[in-house]
Amino acid sequence: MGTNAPEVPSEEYIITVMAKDRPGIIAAITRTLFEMGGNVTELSQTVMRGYFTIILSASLPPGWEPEEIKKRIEAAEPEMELSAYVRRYDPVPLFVPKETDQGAYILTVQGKDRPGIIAQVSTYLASQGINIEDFYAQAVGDRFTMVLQIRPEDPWTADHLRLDLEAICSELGINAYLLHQDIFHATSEVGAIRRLVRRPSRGD
Amino acid sequence: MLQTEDILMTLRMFQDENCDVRTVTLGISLLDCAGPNIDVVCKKAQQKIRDLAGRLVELGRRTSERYGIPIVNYRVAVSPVSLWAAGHGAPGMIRVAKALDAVAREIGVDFVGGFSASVEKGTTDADQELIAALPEALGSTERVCGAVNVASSRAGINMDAILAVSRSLKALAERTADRDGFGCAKFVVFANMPDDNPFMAGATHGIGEPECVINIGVSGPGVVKRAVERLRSTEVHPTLGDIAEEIKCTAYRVTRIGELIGNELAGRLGVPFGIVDLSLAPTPRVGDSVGEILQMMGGRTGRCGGHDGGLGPPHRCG
Repeated sequence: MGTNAPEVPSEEYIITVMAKDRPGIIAAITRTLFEMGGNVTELSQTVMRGYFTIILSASLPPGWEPEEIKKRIEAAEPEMELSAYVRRYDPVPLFVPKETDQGAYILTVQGKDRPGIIAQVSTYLASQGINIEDFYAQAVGDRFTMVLQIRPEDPWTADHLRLDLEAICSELGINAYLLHQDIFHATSEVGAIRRLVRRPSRGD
Repeated sequence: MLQTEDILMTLRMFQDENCDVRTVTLGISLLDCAGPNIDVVCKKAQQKIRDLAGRLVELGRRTSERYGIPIVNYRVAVSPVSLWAAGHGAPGMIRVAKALDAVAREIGVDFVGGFSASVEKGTTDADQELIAALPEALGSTERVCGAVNVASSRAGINMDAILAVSRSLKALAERTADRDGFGCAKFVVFANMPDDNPFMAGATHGIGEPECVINIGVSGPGVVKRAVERLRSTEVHPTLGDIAEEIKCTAYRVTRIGELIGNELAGRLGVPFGIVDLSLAPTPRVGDSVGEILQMMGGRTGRCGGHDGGLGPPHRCG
Protein backbone atom coordinates (compact mmCIF):
# COMPACT_ATOMS: atom_id res chain seq x y z
CA MET A 1 0.00 0.00 0.00
CA GLY A 2 1.65 3.21 -1.04
CA THR A 3 1.09 6.56 0.53
CA ASN A 4 3.03 8.33 -2.19
CA ALA A 5 1.42 6.70 -5.21
CA PRO A 6 2.64 8.21 -8.47
CA GLU A 7 0.03 10.29 -10.24
CA VAL A 8 0.02 8.46 -13.57
CA PRO A 9 -3.01 7.12 -15.49
CA SER A 10 -4.16 3.87 -13.93
CA GLU A 11 -6.98 1.37 -13.82
CA GLU A 12 -8.53 -0.05 -10.65
CA TYR A 13 -9.00 -3.78 -10.10
CA ILE A 14 -10.63 -5.86 -7.38
CA ILE A 15 -8.65 -9.04 -6.76
CA THR A 16 -9.39 -12.04 -4.55
CA VAL A 17 -6.95 -14.86 -3.90
CA MET A 18 -7.45 -18.12 -2.00
CA ALA A 19 -4.95 -20.75 -0.97
CA LYS A 20 -4.01 -23.05 1.87
CA ASP A 21 -2.47 -20.78 4.46
CA ARG A 22 1.31 -20.51 4.80
CA PRO A 23 3.85 -17.71 5.23
CA GLY A 24 4.63 -15.65 2.12
CA ILE A 25 1.27 -15.53 0.31
CA ILE A 26 0.74 -11.77 0.69
CA ALA A 27 4.38 -11.19 -0.23
CA ALA A 28 3.93 -13.23 -3.44
CA ILE A 29 0.74 -11.38 -4.44
CA THR A 30 1.89 -7.86 -3.65
CA ARG A 31 5.36 -8.40 -5.16
CA THR A 32 3.73 -9.52 -8.42
CA LEU A 33 1.47 -6.47 -8.48
CA PHE A 34 4.41 -4.18 -7.69
CA GLU A 35 6.45 -5.67 -10.55
CA MET A 36 3.48 -4.98 -12.86
CA GLY A 37 3.62 -1.29 -11.80
CA GLY A 38 0.63 -1.64 -9.48
CA ASN A 39 -0.27 -0.10 -6.15
CA VAL A 40 -2.47 -1.72 -3.50
CA THR A 41 -5.08 0.73 -2.16
CA GLU A 42 -7.15 -1.43 0.20
CA LEU A 43 -6.76 -4.93 1.57
CA SER A 44 -8.52 -7.35 3.87
CA GLN A 45 -7.57 -10.94 4.64
CA THR A 46 -8.96 -13.76 6.67
CA VAL A 47 -7.92 -17.31 7.53
CA MET A 48 -10.54 -19.99 8.16
CA ARG A 49 -9.73 -23.61 9.04
CA GLY A 50 -6.28 -23.24 7.52
CA TYR A 51 -7.47 -21.60 4.31
CA PHE A 52 -6.34 -18.09 3.48
CA THR A 53 -8.47 -15.60 1.52
CA ILE A 54 -7.65 -12.06 0.60
CA ILE A 55 -9.61 -9.34 -1.16
CA LEU A 56 -7.73 -6.27 -2.30
CA SER A 57 -8.13 -3.22 -4.44
CA ALA A 58 -5.18 -2.26 -6.64
CA SER A 59 -4.48 0.28 -9.34
CA LEU A 60 -2.33 -0.76 -12.28
CA PRO A 61 -1.11 1.04 -15.39
CA PRO A 62 -3.78 0.95 -18.13
CA GLY A 63 -3.84 -2.02 -20.45
CA TRP A 64 -3.65 -5.01 -18.14
CA GLU A 65 -6.33 -7.60 -18.83
CA PRO A 66 -7.87 -9.20 -15.70
CA GLU A 67 -7.00 -12.66 -17.05
CA GLU A 68 -3.33 -11.69 -17.38
CA ILE A 69 -3.22 -10.34 -13.80
CA LYS A 70 -4.78 -13.58 -12.56
CA LYS A 71 -2.21 -15.70 -14.44
CA ARG A 72 0.70 -13.70 -13.11
CA ILE A 73 -0.51 -13.91 -9.49
CA GLU A 74 -1.11 -17.66 -9.75
CA ALA A 75 2.30 -18.16 -11.38
CA ALA A 76 4.12 -16.10 -8.76
CA GLU A 77 4.78 -19.07 -6.45
CA PRO A 78 3.42 -22.23 -8.14
CA GLU A 79 3.92 -24.40 -5.04
CA MET A 80 1.48 -22.14 -3.15
CA GLU A 81 -1.35 -23.15 -5.51
CA LEU A 82 -2.94 -19.70 -5.42
CA SER A 83 -6.43 -19.34 -6.92
CA ALA A 84 -7.01 -15.76 -8.04
CA TYR A 85 -10.03 -13.94 -9.38
CA VAL A 86 -9.73 -10.47 -10.89
CA ARG A 87 -12.33 -7.90 -11.96
CA ARG A 88 -12.07 -4.36 -13.24
CA TYR A 89 -13.42 -2.01 -10.56
CA ASP A 90 -16.87 -0.65 -11.39
CA PRO A 91 -17.60 2.43 -9.25
CA VAL A 92 -21.37 2.31 -9.87
CA PRO A 93 -22.98 0.54 -6.87
CA LEU A 94 -25.88 -1.88 -7.42
CA PHE A 95 -27.27 -1.04 -4.00
CA VAL A 96 -27.37 2.33 -2.26
CA PRO A 97 -28.34 2.11 1.41
CA LYS A 98 -30.86 4.69 2.62
CA GLU A 99 -29.36 7.71 4.34
CA THR A 100 -29.64 7.27 8.10
CA ASP A 101 -27.95 8.63 11.21
CA GLN A 102 -29.14 5.54 12.99
CA GLY A 103 -25.83 3.65 13.11
CA ALA A 104 -25.43 -0.06 12.69
CA TYR A 105 -27.00 -2.84 14.73
CA ILE A 106 -25.43 -6.12 15.71
CA LEU A 107 -27.62 -9.17 15.29
CA THR A 108 -26.41 -12.18 17.26
CA VAL A 109 -27.97 -15.59 16.80
CA GLN A 110 -27.00 -18.43 19.13
CA GLY A 111 -28.23 -21.92 19.81
CA LYS A 112 -28.13 -25.56 18.80
CA ASP A 113 -26.75 -25.95 15.29
CA ARG A 114 -28.98 -27.20 12.51
CA PRO A 115 -29.01 -26.75 8.74
CA GLY A 116 -30.80 -23.71 7.35
CA ILE A 117 -30.29 -21.13 10.11
CA ILE A 118 -28.17 -18.78 7.99
CA ALA A 119 -30.42 -19.30 4.97
CA GLN A 120 -33.61 -18.49 6.89
CA VAL A 121 -32.25 -15.43 8.68
CA SER A 122 -30.55 -14.01 5.58
CA THR A 123 -33.60 -14.69 3.42
CA TYR A 124 -35.76 -12.79 5.90
CA LEU A 125 -33.31 -9.86 5.97
CA ALA A 126 -33.21 -9.82 2.15
CA SER A 127 -37.01 -9.76 2.04
CA GLN A 128 -36.91 -6.63 4.22
CA GLY A 129 -34.33 -4.95 1.95
CA ILE A 130 -31.71 -5.13 4.72
CA ASN A 131 -28.10 -5.43 3.58
CA ILE A 132 -25.68 -7.51 5.66
CA GLU A 133 -22.58 -5.38 6.14
CA ASP A 134 -20.47 -7.83 8.08
CA PHE A 135 -20.93 -11.47 8.99
CA TYR A 136 -19.27 -14.04 11.19
CA ALA A 137 -20.59 -17.53 11.89
CA GLN A 138 -19.14 -20.58 13.56
CA ALA A 139 -20.38 -23.92 14.83
CA VAL A 140 -18.38 -25.45 17.67
CA GLY A 141 -19.72 -28.93 18.39
CA ASP A 142 -23.46 -28.52 18.15
CA ARG A 143 -23.35 -24.91 19.39
CA PHE A 144 -23.88 -22.35 16.64
CA THR A 145 -23.12 -18.63 16.81
CA MET A 146 -23.51 -15.98 14.16
CA VAL A 147 -22.92 -12.26 14.39
CA LEU A 148 -24.18 -9.92 11.68
CA GLN A 149 -23.95 -6.19 11.22
CA ILE A 150 -27.00 -4.58 9.65
CA ARG A 151 -28.30 -1.03 9.32
CA PRO A 152 -32.06 -0.53 9.79
CA GLU A 153 -33.14 2.93 8.69
CA ASP A 154 -34.77 3.90 12.01
CA PRO A 155 -35.45 2.55 15.53
CA TRP A 156 -38.96 1.41 14.57
CA THR A 157 -37.56 -0.72 11.76
CA ALA A 158 -35.01 -2.11 14.22
CA ASP A 159 -37.78 -2.94 16.68
CA HIS A 160 -39.85 -4.58 13.96
CA LEU A 161 -36.85 -6.62 12.78
CA ARG A 162 -36.12 -7.61 16.38
CA LEU A 163 -39.60 -9.01 16.91
CA ASP A 164 -39.63 -10.86 13.57
CA LEU A 165 -36.16 -12.31 14.05
CA GLU A 166 -36.97 -13.42 17.59
CA ALA A 167 -40.04 -15.24 16.21
CA ILE A 168 -38.13 -16.82 13.28
CA CYS A 169 -35.28 -17.97 15.52
CA SER A 170 -37.65 -19.20 18.20
CA GLU A 171 -39.19 -21.55 15.60
CA LEU A 172 -35.68 -22.78 14.82
CA GLY A 173 -35.11 -23.36 18.54
CA ILE A 174 -32.40 -20.69 18.77
CA ASN A 175 -32.10 -17.16 20.21
CA ALA A 176 -31.72 -13.87 18.36
CA TYR A 177 -30.61 -10.56 19.86
CA LEU A 178 -30.53 -7.23 18.06
CA LEU A 179 -28.63 -4.46 19.84
CA HIS A 180 -27.28 -1.12 18.66
CA GLN A 181 -23.56 -1.22 17.91
CA ASP A 182 -22.92 1.68 20.32
CA ILE A 183 -23.71 -0.66 23.22
CA PHE A 184 -20.73 -2.77 22.19
CA HIS A 185 -18.52 0.25 21.54
CA ALA A 186 -19.42 1.55 25.01
CA THR A 187 -18.63 -1.74 26.74
CA SER A 188 -15.54 -2.72 24.74
CA GLU A 189 -13.71 0.54 24.10
CA VAL A 190 -12.22 3.25 26.26
CA GLY A 191 -13.30 6.38 24.33
CA ALA A 192 -15.65 8.98 25.84
CA ILE A 193 -19.34 8.08 25.70
CA ARG A 194 -20.13 11.54 24.39
CA ARG A 195 -18.48 10.59 21.10
CA LEU A 196 -21.08 7.87 20.62
CA VAL A 197 -24.19 9.83 21.51
CA ARG A 198 -25.84 11.82 18.78
CA ARG A 199 -27.30 15.15 19.78
CA PRO A 200 -30.86 15.15 18.48
CA SER A 201 -33.00 18.24 18.56
CA ARG A 202 -35.08 18.49 21.70
CA GLY A 203 -38.15 16.32 21.55
CA ASP A 204 -36.81 14.09 18.78
CA MET B 1 -13.31 -2.51 15.14
CA LEU B 2 -15.67 -4.69 17.20
CA GLN B 3 -14.38 -8.14 18.07
CA THR B 4 -16.76 -11.09 18.09
CA GLU B 5 -15.52 -12.09 21.53
CA ASP B 6 -16.35 -8.65 22.93
CA ILE B 7 -19.79 -8.75 21.32
CA LEU B 8 -20.56 -12.13 22.86
CA MET B 9 -19.25 -11.09 26.28
CA THR B 10 -21.49 -8.00 26.30
CA LEU B 11 -24.43 -9.96 24.96
CA ARG B 12 -24.07 -12.47 27.76
CA MET B 13 -24.74 -9.68 30.26
CA PHE B 14 -28.23 -9.21 28.82
CA GLN B 15 -28.88 -12.81 27.92
CA ASP B 16 -28.02 -14.63 31.14
CA GLU B 17 -27.12 -12.07 33.75
CA ASN B 18 -30.13 -9.83 34.37
CA CYS B 19 -28.37 -6.71 33.05
CA ASP B 20 -30.79 -3.89 32.35
CA VAL B 21 -31.18 -0.19 32.95
CA ARG B 22 -33.12 -0.50 36.15
CA THR B 23 -34.00 3.13 36.73
CA VAL B 24 -34.06 6.44 35.00
CA THR B 25 -34.56 9.25 37.50
CA LEU B 26 -35.19 12.84 36.51
CA GLY B 27 -34.23 15.22 39.32
CA ILE B 28 -36.18 18.49 39.32
CA SER B 29 -35.72 21.55 41.53
CA LEU B 30 -39.06 22.77 42.85
CA LEU B 31 -37.61 25.50 45.09
CA ASP B 32 -39.17 28.16 42.85
CA CYS B 33 -42.64 26.73 43.53
CA ALA B 34 -42.80 28.01 47.14
CA GLY B 35 -45.55 30.54 47.84
CA PRO B 36 -48.23 31.75 50.26
CA ASN B 37 -51.12 29.88 48.62
CA ILE B 38 -50.93 26.08 48.82
CA ASP B 39 -53.17 25.63 45.77
CA VAL B 40 -50.78 27.73 43.72
CA VAL B 41 -47.77 25.86 45.17
CA CYS B 42 -49.28 22.51 44.14
CA LYS B 43 -50.22 23.73 40.67
CA LYS B 44 -46.79 25.26 40.05
CA ALA B 45 -45.07 22.06 41.18
CA GLN B 46 -47.31 19.93 38.97
CA GLN B 47 -46.81 22.18 35.97
CA LYS B 48 -43.04 22.22 36.35
CA ILE B 49 -42.91 18.42 36.61
CA ARG B 50 -45.24 18.13 33.61
CA ASP B 51 -43.07 20.52 31.58
CA LEU B 52 -39.77 18.82 32.37
CA ALA B 53 -40.75 15.18 32.83
CA GLY B 54 -43.89 15.00 30.70
CA ARG B 55 -42.06 13.16 27.92
CA LEU B 56 -39.63 11.25 30.14
CA VAL B 57 -41.34 7.88 29.69
CA GLU B 58 -42.01 8.34 25.97
CA LEU B 59 -38.44 9.45 25.18
CA GLY B 60 -37.09 6.77 27.50
CA ARG B 61 -38.98 4.14 25.51
CA ARG B 62 -37.58 5.52 22.29
CA THR B 63 -34.06 5.38 23.70
CA SER B 64 -34.72 1.85 24.88
CA GLU B 65 -35.95 0.93 21.38
CA ARG B 66 -32.95 2.52 19.72
CA TYR B 67 -30.44 0.52 21.71
CA GLY B 68 -32.47 -2.61 22.26
CA ILE B 69 -32.04 -2.41 26.05
CA PRO B 70 -34.94 -2.47 28.50
CA ILE B 71 -35.47 0.39 30.96
CA VAL B 72 -37.40 -1.03 33.90
CA ASN B 73 -38.49 2.00 35.98
CA TYR B 74 -39.00 5.71 35.45
CA ARG B 75 -38.88 8.05 38.43
CA VAL B 76 -38.87 11.72 39.34
CA ALA B 77 -36.97 13.14 42.34
CA VAL B 78 -37.90 16.63 43.52
CA SER B 79 -36.38 19.10 46.00
CA PRO B 80 -37.16 18.14 49.62
CA VAL B 81 -40.79 19.08 50.17
CA SER B 82 -39.99 20.57 53.61
CA LEU B 83 -38.00 23.30 51.84
CA TRP B 84 -40.60 24.53 49.36
CA ALA B 85 -43.96 23.66 50.96
CA ALA B 86 -43.31 25.24 54.37
CA GLY B 87 -45.89 27.38 56.10
CA HIS B 88 -49.02 25.44 55.16
CA GLY B 89 -49.23 22.98 58.07
CA ALA B 90 -49.55 19.20 57.89
CA PRO B 91 -52.71 19.46 55.74
CA GLY B 92 -50.70 21.50 53.24
CA MET B 93 -48.01 18.81 53.15
CA ILE B 94 -50.67 16.17 52.46
CA ARG B 95 -52.08 18.30 49.61
CA VAL B 96 -48.58 18.49 48.13
CA ALA B 97 -48.15 14.69 48.36
CA LYS B 98 -51.47 14.15 46.60
CA ALA B 99 -50.56 16.69 43.92
CA LEU B 100 -47.23 14.92 43.33
CA ASP B 101 -49.01 11.56 43.17
CA ALA B 102 -51.51 12.85 40.62
CA VAL B 103 -48.86 14.31 38.34
CA ALA B 104 -46.71 11.16 38.64
CA ARG B 105 -49.66 9.07 37.50
CA GLU B 106 -50.43 11.55 34.72
CA ILE B 107 -46.91 11.44 33.22
CA GLY B 108 -46.58 7.69 33.81
CA VAL B 109 -43.58 7.54 36.14
CA ASP B 110 -43.42 4.72 38.69
CA PHE B 111 -42.41 6.85 41.67
CA VAL B 112 -41.85 10.45 42.70
CA GLY B 113 -39.38 10.95 45.55
CA GLY B 114 -38.67 13.98 47.70
CA PHE B 115 -41.35 14.01 50.39
CA SER B 116 -38.45 14.49 52.71
CA ALA B 117 -36.72 16.53 55.39
CA SER B 118 -33.31 16.75 57.07
CA VAL B 119 -33.58 17.06 60.83
CA GLU B 120 -30.26 15.69 62.12
CA LYS B 121 -29.42 18.88 64.01
CA GLY B 122 -32.86 20.28 64.65
CA THR B 123 -36.42 20.24 63.44
CA THR B 124 -38.12 23.22 61.80
CA ASP B 125 -41.88 23.75 61.88
CA ALA B 126 -42.07 22.57 58.28
CA ASP B 127 -40.08 19.41 59.15
CA GLN B 128 -42.47 18.65 62.01
CA GLU B 129 -45.44 19.16 59.74
CA LEU B 130 -43.94 16.86 57.12
CA ILE B 131 -43.25 14.13 59.69
CA ALA B 132 -46.79 14.49 61.08
CA ALA B 133 -48.20 14.29 57.55
CA LEU B 134 -46.28 11.11 56.66
CA PRO B 135 -49.00 8.52 57.51
CA GLU B 136 -51.62 10.14 55.32
CA ALA B 137 -49.24 11.55 52.70
CA LEU B 138 -47.59 8.18 51.95
CA GLY B 139 -50.55 6.03 53.03
CA SER B 140 -53.11 7.63 50.74
CA THR B 141 -50.85 8.00 47.71
CA GLU B 142 -49.56 5.34 45.38
CA ARG B 143 -46.31 6.70 43.95
CA VAL B 144 -44.98 9.25 46.45
CA CYS B 145 -41.81 8.30 48.36
CA GLY B 146 -40.32 10.07 51.35
CA ALA B 147 -37.29 10.16 53.62
CA VAL B 148 -36.10 11.83 56.79
CA ASN B 149 -32.45 12.23 57.74
CA VAL B 150 -32.33 11.93 61.53
CA ALA B 151 -28.59 11.76 62.19
CA SER B 152 -25.18 12.67 60.86
CA SER B 153 -21.59 12.02 61.94
CA ARG B 154 -21.11 15.74 62.38
CA ALA B 155 -24.34 16.68 64.18
CA GLY B 156 -25.10 13.46 66.06
CA ILE B 157 -28.49 11.83 66.47
CA ASN B 158 -31.73 13.78 66.82
CA MET B 159 -33.55 11.50 69.28
CA ASP B 160 -36.68 13.67 69.40
CA ALA B 161 -36.96 13.44 65.64
CA ILE B 162 -36.48 9.67 65.77
CA LEU B 163 -39.39 9.43 68.22
CA ALA B 164 -41.62 11.55 66.00
CA VAL B 165 -40.64 9.63 62.87
CA SER B 166 -41.18 6.30 64.67
CA ARG B 167 -44.72 7.26 65.62
CA SER B 168 -45.49 8.35 62.08
CA LEU B 169 -43.93 5.19 60.68
CA LYS B 170 -46.06 3.03 62.97
CA ALA B 171 -49.19 4.93 61.96
CA LEU B 172 -48.21 4.56 58.30
CA ALA B 173 -47.76 0.80 58.71
CA GLU B 174 -51.17 0.49 60.37
CA ARG B 175 -52.76 2.63 57.71
CA THR B 176 -51.41 0.41 54.93
CA ALA B 177 -51.77 -2.89 56.84
CA ASP B 178 -54.08 -4.24 54.13
CA ARG B 179 -51.16 -3.94 51.67
CA ASP B 180 -48.54 -5.56 53.93
CA GLY B 181 -47.64 -2.12 55.29
CA PHE B 182 -46.43 -1.07 51.84
CA GLY B 183 -46.54 2.61 52.82
CA CYS B 184 -43.36 2.00 54.84
CA ALA B 185 -41.58 0.56 51.78
CA LYS B 186 -41.89 4.03 50.27
CA PHE B 187 -40.10 5.64 53.20
CA VAL B 188 -36.45 5.75 54.29
CA VAL B 189 -34.96 6.87 57.60
CA PHE B 190 -31.41 8.04 56.98
CA ALA B 191 -28.26 8.76 58.89
CA ASN B 192 -25.74 10.71 56.80
CA MET B 193 -28.12 11.10 53.90
CA PRO B 194 -26.23 12.35 50.86
CA ASP B 195 -27.00 15.90 49.71
CA ASP B 196 -28.71 14.48 46.69
CA ASN B 197 -29.85 10.97 46.08
CA PRO B 198 -31.49 9.55 42.97
CA PHE B 199 -32.32 6.20 44.54
CA MET B 200 -35.81 5.39 45.71
CA ALA B 201 -37.35 5.41 48.15
CA GLY B 202 -35.00 8.04 49.55
CA ALA B 203 -34.58 10.04 46.35
CA THR B 204 -34.43 13.81 46.54
CA HIS B 205 -33.12 16.49 44.23
CA GLY B 206 -30.65 18.15 46.57
CA ILE B 207 -29.29 21.62 47.04
CA GLY B 208 -26.27 22.05 44.75
CA GLU B 209 -27.89 20.18 41.89
CA PRO B 210 -28.84 21.85 38.60
CA GLU B 211 -32.42 22.81 37.76
CA CYS B 212 -33.00 19.40 36.25
CA VAL B 213 -30.78 16.34 35.78
CA ILE B 214 -30.99 12.74 34.53
CA ASN B 215 -29.51 9.94 36.67
CA ILE B 216 -29.29 6.29 35.71
CA GLY B 217 -29.31 3.14 37.81
CA VAL B 218 -27.98 -0.09 36.30
CA SER B 219 -28.25 -3.52 37.86
CA GLY B 220 -24.98 -4.97 39.02
CA PRO B 221 -25.26 -8.06 41.22
CA GLY B 222 -26.26 -10.66 38.61
CA VAL B 223 -23.62 -9.59 36.11
CA VAL B 224 -20.82 -9.33 38.66
CA LYS B 225 -21.73 -12.65 40.25
CA ARG B 226 -21.64 -14.50 36.93
CA ALA B 227 -18.31 -12.88 36.04
CA VAL B 228 -16.77 -14.10 39.31
CA GLU B 229 -18.38 -17.50 38.80
CA ARG B 230 -16.87 -17.78 35.31
CA LEU B 231 -13.44 -16.76 36.57
CA ARG B 232 -13.56 -19.40 39.30
CA SER B 233 -14.58 -22.06 36.82
CA THR B 234 -11.79 -21.24 34.36
CA GLU B 235 -8.91 -20.50 36.76
CA VAL B 236 -7.82 -23.00 39.39
CA HIS B 237 -6.89 -20.63 42.21
CA PRO B 238 -7.79 -17.05 41.30
CA THR B 239 -6.30 -14.53 43.73
CA LEU B 240 -8.32 -11.73 45.27
CA GLY B 241 -6.46 -9.48 42.78
CA ASP B 242 -7.74 -11.60 39.86
CA ILE B 243 -11.29 -11.39 41.19
CA ALA B 244 -11.00 -7.64 41.77
CA GLU B 245 -9.77 -7.21 38.19
CA GLU B 246 -12.70 -9.23 36.84
CA ILE B 247 -15.19 -7.21 38.89
CA LYS B 248 -13.55 -3.97 37.74
CA CYS B 249 -13.88 -4.91 34.06
CA THR B 250 -17.47 -6.07 34.54
CA ALA B 251 -18.43 -2.93 36.46
CA TYR B 252 -16.90 -0.90 33.62
CA ARG B 253 -19.07 -2.62 31.02
CA VAL B 254 -22.26 -2.22 33.05
CA THR B 255 -21.73 1.42 34.01
CA ARG B 256 -20.79 2.35 30.45
CA ILE B 257 -24.15 1.04 29.27
CA GLY B 258 -25.84 3.27 31.85
CA GLU B 259 -23.73 6.21 30.76
CA LEU B 260 -24.65 5.66 27.11
CA ILE B 261 -28.38 5.43 27.79
CA GLY B 262 -28.23 8.40 30.21
CA ASN B 263 -26.39 10.63 27.77
CA GLU B 264 -28.73 9.76 24.93
CA LEU B 265 -31.85 10.37 27.02
CA ALA B 266 -30.42 13.59 28.47
CA GLY B 267 -29.83 14.79 24.90
CA ARG B 268 -33.38 13.95 23.89
CA LEU B 269 -34.84 15.69 26.96
CA GLY B 270 -32.48 18.66 26.66
CA VAL B 271 -31.28 18.34 30.26
CA PRO B 272 -27.82 17.59 31.67
CA PHE B 273 -26.70 14.05 32.43
CA GLY B 274 -25.82 13.43 36.07
CA ILE B 275 -24.51 10.10 37.34
CA VAL B 276 -24.68 6.33 36.91
CA ASP B 277 -25.35 4.13 39.92
CA LEU B 278 -24.16 0.56 39.68
CA SER B 279 -26.89 -0.64 41.98
CA LEU B 280 -26.09 -3.31 44.52
CA ALA B 281 -29.69 -3.47 45.60
CA PRO B 282 -31.12 -6.94 45.07
CA THR B 283 -34.24 -7.87 43.19
CA PRO B 284 -36.32 -10.88 44.19
CA ARG B 285 -34.77 -12.82 41.30
CA VAL B 286 -32.35 -15.56 42.30
CA GLY B 287 -28.80 -14.60 41.30
CA ASP B 288 -29.39 -10.88 41.62
CA SER B 289 -27.98 -10.20 45.08
CA VAL B 290 -24.72 -8.68 46.28
CA GLY B 291 -24.63 -11.25 49.10
CA GLU B 292 -24.32 -14.02 46.52
CA ILE B 293 -21.29 -12.23 45.04
CA LEU B 294 -19.59 -12.30 48.44
CA GLN B 295 -20.44 -15.99 48.75
CA MET B 296 -19.02 -16.60 45.28
CA MET B 297 -15.80 -14.87 46.35
CA GLY B 298 -15.55 -17.26 49.28
CA GLY B 299 -17.18 -15.13 51.98
CA ARG B 300 -20.04 -16.22 54.22
CA THR B 301 -23.23 -14.22 54.45
CA GLY B 302 -26.62 -14.71 55.98
CA ARG B 303 -29.72 -13.94 53.98
CA CYS B 304 -28.53 -11.89 51.03
CA GLY B 305 -29.45 -8.25 50.84
CA GLY B 306 -28.46 -4.85 49.58
CA HIS B 307 -27.42 -1.49 50.94
CA ASP B 308 -30.14 0.75 49.68
CA GLY B 309 -33.82 0.39 49.08
CA GLY B 310 -33.81 -0.56 45.42
CA LEU B 311 -37.51 0.10 45.16
CA GLY B 312 -39.09 -1.58 42.20
CA PRO B 313 -42.74 -1.35 41.22
CA PRO B 314 -44.99 -2.47 44.08
CA HIS B 315 -45.53 -5.98 42.73
CA ARG B 316 -41.77 -6.58 42.49
CA CYS B 317 -40.81 -5.26 45.86
CA GLY B 318 -39.41 -8.07 47.97
